[in-house]
Amino acid sequence: MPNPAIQVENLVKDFKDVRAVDGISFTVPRGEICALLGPNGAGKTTTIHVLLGLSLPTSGRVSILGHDVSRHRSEAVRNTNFTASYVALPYRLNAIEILRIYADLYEVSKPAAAIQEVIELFELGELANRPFSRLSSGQQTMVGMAKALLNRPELIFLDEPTASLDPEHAFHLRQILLRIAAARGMTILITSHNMTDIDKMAQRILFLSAGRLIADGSPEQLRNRFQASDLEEVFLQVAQQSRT
Amino acid sequence: MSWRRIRGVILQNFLVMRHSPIRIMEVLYWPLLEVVLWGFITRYLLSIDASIKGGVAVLLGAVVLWDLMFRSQQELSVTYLIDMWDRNVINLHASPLRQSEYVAGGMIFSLGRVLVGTTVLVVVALLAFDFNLFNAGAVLLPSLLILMVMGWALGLFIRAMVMRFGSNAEVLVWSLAFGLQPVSAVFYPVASLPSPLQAVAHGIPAAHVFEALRAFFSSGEVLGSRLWLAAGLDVLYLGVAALVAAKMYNNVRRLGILARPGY
Repeated sequence: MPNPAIQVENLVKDFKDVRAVDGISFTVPRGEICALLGPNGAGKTTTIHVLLGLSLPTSGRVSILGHDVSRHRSEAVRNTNFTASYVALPYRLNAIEILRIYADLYEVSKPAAAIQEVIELFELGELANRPFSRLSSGQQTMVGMAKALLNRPELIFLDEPTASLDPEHAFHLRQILLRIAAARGMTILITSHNMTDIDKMAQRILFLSAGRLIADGSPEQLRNRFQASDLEEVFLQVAQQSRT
Repeated sequence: MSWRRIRGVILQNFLVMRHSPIRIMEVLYWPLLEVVLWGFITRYLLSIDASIKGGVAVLLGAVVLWDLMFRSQQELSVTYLIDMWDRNVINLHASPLRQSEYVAGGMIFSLGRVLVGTTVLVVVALLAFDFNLFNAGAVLLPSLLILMVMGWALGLFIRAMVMRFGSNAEVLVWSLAFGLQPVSAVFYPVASLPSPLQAVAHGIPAAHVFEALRAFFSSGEVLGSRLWLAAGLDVLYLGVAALVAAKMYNNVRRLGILARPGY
């Protein structure tokens, strides 16, 4: 049986006197689309950063694709990728140049074909030679997504991927991700404040609040548990509970 | 270490430079300005007293070699700053790129830029001011290598500081090397420093290199022991800088700063 895509055991992450993640444990099997949901400051982004080795855990153990991230970060992230609304790419460079660089960093075999594939996937043809700085924020998101799928990752981390997208482009992006996840068995760990993203994509939701994992289930299970008509209502109830 | 990932870092630095007229201009502008300035100072000094030709010629050699040290430091530091300014650091650190590969890519790129800049300086010094750096003979190659490595050691230390302290440490990129210049015996011998500063100078690789250069230009003597000592100091400082960089990398991951660089 293959290792799970993500395994988190008693993860604690402190920043000085603030406990951002408070002893969470979860396992994401390969091929699952899993959402990390929670109000601002719940610990979602911190959890993703620990999973990528950008932050070290205060305690606990984190492994991805069978590799301990704290000890073997480079090996662990080799077959993963990542994009987020708050990161950028070299603004002077165009999409083709950026993808050439990241093809080397992820040691993509047949880089020209891989670049062509993601350029077509995200319909970047006309934009591919334009500097990153001259793209709209939505177009920049698409270049970031192209980078994130360039190495055909087994596991992808998406932190607010649709934050700068209009509903049509967000829909388009979701369709692409769902199609690829189904075709390749790609695991997705996504955070979003867009409940439509979560509802349409996630097979499972991990609800975080104040660094704790307070709910774990499918969108339907969570709606039933909180007797809510949609995920937004679930979100509001949980956010309210966490404040009181 | 993966050569492919190192190549990715070099490619990124090269493409960023290619799209930035300022970065291209930097390769030549400041070094040329310095060599022209010191070239005219040299000419003026020679017009006052032609008997000091050998001594004055060292000034131009010192300018070229100090510039090589400063540029190799600056290039290694600036490549990290550019990633920070571009908000690209998180993407790089989320990739399989190791710190050693990231730094190695920066070093190789800096080597290329410094070689181009230094070659132009050497040619200008020869054609415009009749100074041939190759007159430094056997001392030249070790001097170039020692100064280059000293620049990398400083550059690596500064990268670590920028990684840890963000934009607060940016000023080090343009100031740290110049802070060392007075005790590096670039334009005057170590003996002309007050004795406490002489002790400091003896711990700086560049001071030994410039002493060796002066000795060679004035008497043709090769101060091999000085150059070996400088090389040993280089190895020590590069090792210390690598340790500091590794420590800072772990610190910023522990503190969560790597995920918000330039804070």
